[in-house]
Amino acid sequence: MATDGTCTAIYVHFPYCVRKCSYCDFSSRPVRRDQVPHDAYATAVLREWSLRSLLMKQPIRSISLYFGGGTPSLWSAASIGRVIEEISRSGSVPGDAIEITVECNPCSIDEAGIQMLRDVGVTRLSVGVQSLSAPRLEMLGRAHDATRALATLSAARRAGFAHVSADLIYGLPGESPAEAASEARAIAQSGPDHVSAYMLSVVPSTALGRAMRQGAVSPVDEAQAADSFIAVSDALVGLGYEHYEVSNFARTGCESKHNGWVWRGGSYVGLGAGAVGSMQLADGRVIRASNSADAQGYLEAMEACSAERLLEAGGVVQSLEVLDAETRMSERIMLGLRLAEGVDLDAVSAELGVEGWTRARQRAARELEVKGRLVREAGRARIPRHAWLWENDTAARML
Amino acid sequence: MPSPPSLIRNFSIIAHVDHGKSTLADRLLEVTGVLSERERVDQFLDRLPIERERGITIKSQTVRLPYKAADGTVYQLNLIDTPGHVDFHYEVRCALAACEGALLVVDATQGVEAQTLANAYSAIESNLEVIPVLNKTDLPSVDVEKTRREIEDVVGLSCADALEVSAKTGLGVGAILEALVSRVPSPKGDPSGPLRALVFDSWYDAYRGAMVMVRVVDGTLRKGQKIKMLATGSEYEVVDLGVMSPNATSVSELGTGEVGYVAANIRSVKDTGTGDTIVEASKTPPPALPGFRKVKPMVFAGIFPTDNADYDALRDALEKLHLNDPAFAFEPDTSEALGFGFRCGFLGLLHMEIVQERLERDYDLDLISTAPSVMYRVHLLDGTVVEVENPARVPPAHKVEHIEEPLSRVVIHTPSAYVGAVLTLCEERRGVQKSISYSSTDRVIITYELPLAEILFDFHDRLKSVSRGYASMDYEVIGFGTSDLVKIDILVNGEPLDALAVIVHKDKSFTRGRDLCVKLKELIPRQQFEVAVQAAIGSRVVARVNVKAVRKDVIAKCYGGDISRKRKLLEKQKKGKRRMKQVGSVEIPQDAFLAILKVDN
Repeated sequence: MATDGTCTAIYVHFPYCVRKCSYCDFSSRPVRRDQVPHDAYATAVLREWSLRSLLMKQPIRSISLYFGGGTPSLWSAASIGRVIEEISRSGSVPGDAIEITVECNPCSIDEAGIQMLRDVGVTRLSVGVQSLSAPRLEMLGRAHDATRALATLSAARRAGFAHVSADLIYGLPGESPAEAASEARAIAQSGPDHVSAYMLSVVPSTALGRAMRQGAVSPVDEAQAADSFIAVSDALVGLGYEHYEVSNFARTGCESKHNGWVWRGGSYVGLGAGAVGSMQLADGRVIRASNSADAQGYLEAMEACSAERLLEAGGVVQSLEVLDAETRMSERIMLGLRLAEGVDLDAVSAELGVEGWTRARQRAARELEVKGRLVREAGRARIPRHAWLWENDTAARML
Repeated sequence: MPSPPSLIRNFSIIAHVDHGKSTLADRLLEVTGVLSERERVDQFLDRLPIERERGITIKSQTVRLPYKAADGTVYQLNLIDTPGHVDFHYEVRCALAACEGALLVVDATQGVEAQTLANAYSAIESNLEVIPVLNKTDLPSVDVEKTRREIEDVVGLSCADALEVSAKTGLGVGAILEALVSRVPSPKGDPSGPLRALVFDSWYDAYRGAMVMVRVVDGTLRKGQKIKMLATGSEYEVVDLGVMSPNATSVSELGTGEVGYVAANIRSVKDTGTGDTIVEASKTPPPALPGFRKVKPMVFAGIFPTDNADYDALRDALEKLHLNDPAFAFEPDTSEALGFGFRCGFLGLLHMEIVQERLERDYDLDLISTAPSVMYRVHLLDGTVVEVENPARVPPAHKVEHIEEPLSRVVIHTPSAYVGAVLTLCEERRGVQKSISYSSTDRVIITYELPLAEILFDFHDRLKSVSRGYASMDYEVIGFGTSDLVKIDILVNGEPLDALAVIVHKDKSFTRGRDLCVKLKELIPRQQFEVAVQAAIGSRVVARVNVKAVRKDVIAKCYGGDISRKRKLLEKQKKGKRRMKQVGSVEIPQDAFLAILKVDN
């Protein structure tokens, strides 16, 4: 993987939502649709891009552009188009089409809107279906129903997107493994070539977390959630999807290029309020920068920001971390073990110049192999699908 | 040239922990010019970092202070620093035997505490001139009058000439030096008699072997002299003699009454028993100085490497530590659960903690320690008696006639408000009350006879918690007594885990067994499979708990923004695994082996 090269993925965070979902702890801010500063936000993002480009190793070649949020489908297609146009002007890998994804909330987009995104160059749509059951959608704080979500998926297909992905959340209180699997199947039958199926994790500070503490929502049954993980995986694998990452399924060749790149240690630039990026600077250092989540502050700061300011924690950039080779090795293992293909420690070692299969890792791997939690194939370590349920523990031992 | 005995004053400083002993020692070094302000590291005498951190002195260090008194004469003051903790009674006594006087330092904001009393009695029994020093008089909460009364009533020392000082600010330190000269007797002894020197400390020097610190009682000790240790019978040649002031300075001889170190190519500290007498080798030996005895460990625990590959490193570390601290004993041990390790004997709980901490800190080892245990005398039906210091090795009940366990006398000082709580605690711990008396209107001294094993079960922490930290204690082992004891075995997934076996009194066996299971459930992390923990007495299971299996331990989302956070989480999770021991298919954390200490009564 060419992390020392100049290829990069680009993530644009759009921090606005019409309403906040009950489970969401992502950086976003509820606004009315007519209050979204469409153009101003695009200007600010492009300004950040031009400054960040100055700091990065040249020449920059983008392999993907990903609009996440928040609700990027609230953003006007024209503004999205502007961002796409200017960023793709700075260069991409010759002969390899850049993947451009936009996350969509079924409530905030209609067939015409979808067509407009297609027209401005978006190649991939990621649709937040989340659930097909009315009570569960309500528990999640989603404003759409199942019909609308599935319609969005077929509209995306009709509009001619090369790739369509659907998000599903399972393991909700009261949901049986059979119900989770049947939702996954129903979503798959609406034609997405990619499904992200997330086991619900309840963050205490979210509305759902509060409701659970107060007893308004019953707690998640751990065993049921674990069984649902297997049931969803079996269902989608049965329909011909590959379970290629802990929470991601794709038809052959339809993996998310953007996320695959990040998971394999590729450099990614984060743009926008609340965005996080991990990129190689011109001097060779690799940094991770997290932007402050304050959208208004971001707009104002970008009017008079310099490239140097982006290398200081405190203003727009909330935290800044220089990643040394050992840390990067840890991250590659952690992310790689979340992929079906695993991680080739020998290859990563050669790339980063630090030891991969240390004595401690070899010992940990031996112990994990006995328990069926890890497979070693030459320099590569991977977690078999059923053992992903203990992925944190496995990764911690392999760190 | 040695000083004439009339110009020598040998003294030590005794105090309850934290009453300011080390600070006062620093001040004395400074005032006599032995240590310049610039060289001063706080608490110079506590050289080991661990001592500085815990604020206690582990091995005694001695220093010579030249002092020009108000009368214009220069005196040789030898400050003999004594260990300040209850576990080192014997070493304290040996050090006191090398002195003629002692400064009894009492924090005048706190008053007399348990170790004030124990140390003062030791000094009085050693016939020392004890000078009461009321410390911390610079603090607003000081109560000098009350402290004087306590010293007079409890310790039985007149406070008419007590000194009021602040070791921190240096106030009154000059008066202490004058008092040492005028009130502490000069050493008696026969300068022309045959050599007798008392060994009161020893340590290991990587270049010179075991070094001993001595007080010459009679005669003169010279470089090149052939000497003999009376207790061991071994003979050596004195290679070097010297004094600490505060750094080592060679001298050609040490005269009667003087204090200094001896290097004599002694291989191991084992050959230099504290309390032994050094005499001249060629001559008919004079009688040994009184008081020597071999120190016996009272508290035992297993120490095992977390990773079996570290066994050799652990053995090397134990051998090195043992060079400096012969009071601690160790021998190879095997545990079915923990593999190869060592059974170690210590003078007391603090001594045990210090050794374990040094092993981990100075030798960078990850260790699993088992809960401390005492030595049991097991009388078998066939008439034989075996001494067992590992609960797992206690013979099965059907072979045992009766078991004896060590008993201790515990003296507790507490404010009167907590008397009820302290008595309840002692009664719960199978104590027999010996006496209870008021030391002042609001302070009480309680004496109990308690099985030593009960003291090991977290007694000190419990005492502190029932008295909100105000009670202090001191204990001493006084002998053995018969008790109705049984062994509780702990089974993990059906297999007995030998390192978790404990010996408890029969009346408490059911509750202890149940509480231990409940505690283990808390301490053993959930694993991939369910883990059953059972407590059994003989073949009878008395309690059972299940540690539920982890069904999922996975984060659903891990995108760009989550990576740092997740990495930090995993790093933390990884740290938690460092002190886990794989026992069969179950991982058991270090804490679990000490669970019995955390079982609340």
